[in-house]
Amino acid sequence: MDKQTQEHLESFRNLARKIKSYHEAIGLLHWDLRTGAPKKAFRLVRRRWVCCPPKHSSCKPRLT
Amino acid sequence: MLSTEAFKLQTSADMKTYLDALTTPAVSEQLEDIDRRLVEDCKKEYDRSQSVPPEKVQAYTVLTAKSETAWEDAKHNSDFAGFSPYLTDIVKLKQEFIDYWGVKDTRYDTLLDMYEPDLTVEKVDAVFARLKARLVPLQEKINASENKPNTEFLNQLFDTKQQEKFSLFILEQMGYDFEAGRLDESVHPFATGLNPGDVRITTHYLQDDVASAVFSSLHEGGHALYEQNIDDSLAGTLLAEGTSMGIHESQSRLWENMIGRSLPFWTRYYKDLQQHFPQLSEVELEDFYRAINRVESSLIRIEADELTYNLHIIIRYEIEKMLFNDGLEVKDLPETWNAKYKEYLGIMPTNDGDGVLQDVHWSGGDFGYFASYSLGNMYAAQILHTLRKEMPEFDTLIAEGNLIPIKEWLTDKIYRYGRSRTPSELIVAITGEELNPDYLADYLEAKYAEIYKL
Repeated sequence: MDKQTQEHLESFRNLARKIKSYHEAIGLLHWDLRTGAPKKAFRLVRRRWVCCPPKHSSCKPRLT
Repeated sequence: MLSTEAFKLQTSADMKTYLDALTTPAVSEQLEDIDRRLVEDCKKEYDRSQSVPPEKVQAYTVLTAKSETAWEDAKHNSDFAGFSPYLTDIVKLKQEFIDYWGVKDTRYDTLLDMYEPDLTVEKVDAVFARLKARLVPLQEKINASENKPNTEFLNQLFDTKQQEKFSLFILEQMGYDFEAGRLDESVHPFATGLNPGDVRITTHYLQDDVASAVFSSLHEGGHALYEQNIDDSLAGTLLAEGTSMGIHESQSRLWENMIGRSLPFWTRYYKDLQQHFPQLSEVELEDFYRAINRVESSLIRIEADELTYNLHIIIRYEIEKMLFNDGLEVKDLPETWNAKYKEYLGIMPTNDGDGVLQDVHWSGGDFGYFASYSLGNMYAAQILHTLRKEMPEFDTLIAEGNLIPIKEWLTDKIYRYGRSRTPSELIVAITGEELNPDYLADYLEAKYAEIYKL
């Protein structure tokens, strides 16, 4: 693998890690809204919610 | 805001540059397996996200947010007409999205693939047909059986603090790591895996239904074990989560039903349950076991038993397929829904709140999701078959309360891989064959033949 491709790979890994960090933060907010936050909060926040792709369980909990 | 930022990163020019560089055949073959899988995953997501104009994504986001609120009211008031305009718009936008994403063999295939990679209508039709052919007659035999379990003793009041204590106890027994998670209470139980070191679950405690808390905890605990035991090498990457909805469901259902509703499980834990709830002290173990495995046609999917649950899913799958492939109109959904319930379960809802409006999924645009629940049951039965072969002492271990070797086997075969293996790669590696619905049918027929003395 040449030097530029190696740099691309490292940058790609870093970008993917950053996206994962966002997902974790979103998941944490979602958990708080579903468990600890006042009930009205979830309804209000949901209006501004941008859905993540369904596969990312860290930012969109599975439905039962 | 956070999710908008995440979306921007996923579709950024930088991401395009890296994906272009890393997906050429010459470079791809030099990548480590984990990097290659991560690149493929991000490429698929990038292509899908890029293909839809941002204004359409925005319109969809606003619509589904309003729709979920409208659905809550409509369900409460059994008012399908009040929800119908939202659902009509969602289906219309989804149809447009399918065109942007690219139609696979059929339009509905594109939606199925979002929840279960490479799943197609052709595959699901085949496995559901085989399943239906065995489950419908089984259910009819059960309905005709004179050996129905008595469930009256479950209709008592059970202290909710004791329910919480027992739930915590069972989770500990399963090997749920409380250093890497916590149990909370919510209206609808769920699991959130932030990373393998923080996998939180919730359950609910209903005073008049002790079984609900116990089995919800086992179910969510199953999801959590999966994510807590993903290999450290994947931590912090987008591969540190379950590989698909179907495989994830297989793990929750294996713990909830195939272990948690088994006789060996209660042989070990029934005495503990009785200690928490003295009102069960006069109830025999076998009567309790039969009661928690009662089969009965019911209208509500999330309250359905292990057998009829699959028929609830097949109904939803067939209706979604009609919506996206066969031109079924939203206005005709209640009538179609009721007819299918009559055909498969022999019952019909008297109002739409207990019928077509009962699930939240469609209000959020989650079409293609339902099939993954039954896939989970099928994967679980197939995995259980191999687990029993490789671990002949399986029942004995459960009856002794030694659940950790089972968790370790599942970790070795499934959990540790996270998303680094596809569902198909996993199931073939574990069981030696692709998804086969006969294992679930075999499991259910054997279980209920004994309980109902068929």
